[in-house]
Amino acid sequence: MNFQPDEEDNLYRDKLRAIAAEYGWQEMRALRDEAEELHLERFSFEFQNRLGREGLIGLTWPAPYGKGARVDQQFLMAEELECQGFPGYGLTSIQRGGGMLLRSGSEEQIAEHLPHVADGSWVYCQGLSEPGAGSDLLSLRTRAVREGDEYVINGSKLWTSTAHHANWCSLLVRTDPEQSRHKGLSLLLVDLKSPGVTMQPVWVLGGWHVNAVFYDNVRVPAKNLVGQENQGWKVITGNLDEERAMSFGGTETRLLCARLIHRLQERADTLGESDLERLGHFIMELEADRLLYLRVGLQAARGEDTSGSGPMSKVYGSELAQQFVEWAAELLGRETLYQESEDVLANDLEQQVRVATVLTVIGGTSEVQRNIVATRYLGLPRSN
Amino acid sequence: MLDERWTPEVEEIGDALRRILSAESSPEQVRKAEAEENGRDAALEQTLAEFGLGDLRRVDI
Repeated sequence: MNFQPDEEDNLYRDKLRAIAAEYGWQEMRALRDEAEELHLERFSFEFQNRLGREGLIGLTWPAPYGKGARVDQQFLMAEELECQGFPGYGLTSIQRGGGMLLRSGSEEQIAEHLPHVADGSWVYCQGLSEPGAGSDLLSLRTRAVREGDEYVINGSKLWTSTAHHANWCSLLVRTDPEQSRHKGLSLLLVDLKSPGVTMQPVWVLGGWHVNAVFYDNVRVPAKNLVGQENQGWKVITGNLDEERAMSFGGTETRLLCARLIHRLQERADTLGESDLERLGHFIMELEADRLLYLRVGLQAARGEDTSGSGPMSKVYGSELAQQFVEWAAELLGRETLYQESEDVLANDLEQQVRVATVLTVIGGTSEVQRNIVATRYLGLPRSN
Repeated sequence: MLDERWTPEVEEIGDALRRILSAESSPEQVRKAEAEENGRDAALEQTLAEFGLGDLRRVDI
């Protein structure tokens, strides 16, 4: 057991820390403004490109696309990124696209896409959930029919994050209508500029928007099939495991907690015993969240199954983020949530009250995650 | 490198302790100890002391 990183472990964290030193308040403000203008969740093209130039995208991928870094090195770099307040969602979402291709893509797909993923020039989204299906991903009805060297896609997707600025969508479609649930699905890479693709924004509480994406006779080259036809579920479960291995609120809450403690120093004498107890409790829970998050990454690096531990980390971190920010807002005064203010911390808390709620829903609701923990981690039988 | 797992040495200690408790701390033995005035099982305590339970804090985890 070792939780003490050494110099080599911290190689990329230190590189990120050096970059962070160049970003003052104005530069950080500009990154936030960019995400706001783009209506994206914690995403900045400016910062994404900077990470690409520094070779910090896809660190764990093999050369020539990545650095072949160890997963704990990537963990420490990503943790530093979020703890410094940088927009981290773009990095994780495009790395997920690249990771999928490395696991399941053809040599041609890897050669075409990975250089653009690694330099930050192409952005990827995932087309999974559908209207009317709620959290039941497997009831999807979007169809792709093979016609010669192409697939023709018809259907619609909902809650597609980042689609309005993405170049490509990893689209889960039904290619065998005789099959149901996880059988008969395929994964296609769809160029979102293709004729027949249209979008509508769906605003979410966090302040950005996701998308409803419509596919009307969209023609996709058959070479864009990732993995084998009708085996798309195998491809996408790797993506879902990777998604659930992200930090869903815990890491950014540590930054918020540190800022709150800094603020409270000015009025420490007004805090009661119960406030201090609660704060101490949150510090312990944030540490537990960090270890759950770290465990998922280390298990994945050893090739172990993370389909149970990933959801555990996801549900713990996102619900902790929600509990913390509600308490913090109460402590500073509920009125901070209802007024325009020059107080940056109050504004961030107000936004985080909304964001944290979203975090318990996106990537699978807490209820879905708990069911997965029950079946995959504890091995309990599914209910009928 | 970071590693969240117990070392093999710690796992071995856990396994050995589990074997002792399975053999010498059955539900019947626990109920018997509970029925004693001081609620303790002197024989089990002796076994655990011989096992070295008191020295475990020195083990590198």
